[in-house]
Amino acid sequence: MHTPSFPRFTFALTAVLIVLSTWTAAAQRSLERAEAFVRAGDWDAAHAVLAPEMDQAAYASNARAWFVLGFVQKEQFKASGASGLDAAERSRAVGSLQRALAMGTLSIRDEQTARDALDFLGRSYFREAIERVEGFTLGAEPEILGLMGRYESVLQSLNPAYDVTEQRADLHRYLGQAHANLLETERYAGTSEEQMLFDGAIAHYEASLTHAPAHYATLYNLAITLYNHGVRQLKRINHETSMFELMEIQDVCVGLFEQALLPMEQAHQRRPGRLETLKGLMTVHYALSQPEASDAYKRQIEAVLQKK
Amino acid sequence: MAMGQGTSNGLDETDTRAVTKANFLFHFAASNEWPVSVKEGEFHLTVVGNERLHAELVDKYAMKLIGAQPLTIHGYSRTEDLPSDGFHHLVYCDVGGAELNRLALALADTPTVLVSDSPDGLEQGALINFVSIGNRIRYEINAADAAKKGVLIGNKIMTWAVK
Repeated sequence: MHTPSFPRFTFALTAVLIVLSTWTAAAQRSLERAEAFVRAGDWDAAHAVLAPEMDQAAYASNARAWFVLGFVQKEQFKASGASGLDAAERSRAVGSLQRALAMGTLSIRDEQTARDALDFLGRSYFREAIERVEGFTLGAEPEILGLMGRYESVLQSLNPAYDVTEQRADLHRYLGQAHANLLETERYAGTSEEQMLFDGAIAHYEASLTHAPAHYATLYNLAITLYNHGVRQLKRINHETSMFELMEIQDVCVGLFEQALLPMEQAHQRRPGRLETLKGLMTVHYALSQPEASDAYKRQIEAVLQKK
Repeated sequence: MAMGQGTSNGLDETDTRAVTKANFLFHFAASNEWPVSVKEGEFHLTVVGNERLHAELVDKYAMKLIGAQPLTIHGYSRTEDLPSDGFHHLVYCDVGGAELNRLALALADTPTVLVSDSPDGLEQGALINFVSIGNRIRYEINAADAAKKGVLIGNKIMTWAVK
């Protein structure tokens, strides 16, 4: 005997709907409980209720649940005091909030809160990157670049048209300065790290110039780093330096001084009245045994000083 | 960005030419063969008209041995300040022209090697003159006149000379 197909289909559909509504109700209850914990400021309890449920199908497309979870994870990150690329709560919070926003079904208020939370998390990456640049130590570079990469990624998720060119130029300039500052300490004098720091400084200044080719400070700092590195080699000359070594050192120094001239001239073109670039050009030409050119800039310095 | 837009690292104000010239002068002192009559006591290296070169020599080379002679560095602002009673093995004079020529004449009868940094240094009587070749400091030598004074310019010095 055959059962008519329509009743059989109806039965199956009803069963599916019952299961779905049960899941949805359960999900709704977990979300409501998590929200109650959020209102009480108990982030860990909220997370414990909601996080295990997120694998369930009912939650996978629930923007509000991802939003609440992301918000909770953001608060957990703040409470943890964690920092750096390894701060797991922050990474999870960013992921949850981005997922919530991507669904496009949040209320206007929730969407604004989610965007504010993401903006906060993005800026926390930026702030830490800057802190690490300011307290720069050898080997910190990958972490800094990673933090800045995440900052840019968050910003671009909030605004796909966001242009990061200027910030990349700034970051590379600051990293150039950070490398150069370590070089100036002489802590790495004569070690293999010294050459790494010099190469790093130059590479970052050049990278910065690809984003902002006419940036005065980058051009000036690049010129100074090249020039000072030449002087650093020269200052190691002493009574034990042979004639052959002296000639070799001179070749290296002159090469660096020649390289320093172009960015110093470009910086001067950007700000012709700046004493520091006039002094820089006077000094580099002097070091290159070009007394006439050096004297010409010396006269310009005197003229600028007379006007003051 | 929060960080400043300004420049950070200052220009190293070391007198680069003084550093290089000081080492050359040390080699001129150490690598030439001086007459026996002046190979006792201190070795006198005198700088006229270049305070920073004098300071560099005092800082890095004073009391180093030239053979068995401890190196003594002297510094004077002008050629007329140079005492006429003492012997100077090596004299560097920063000014050229007539003033250099007068100094060369005053030292003509001594085995002093006069070093200059002037386009016409050798013509004015210096035995060694710094020149600029390819943005580098090099030197030219009047070895014949040095030999007349009894000073034999060393092979190492001759090798790197430009003429």
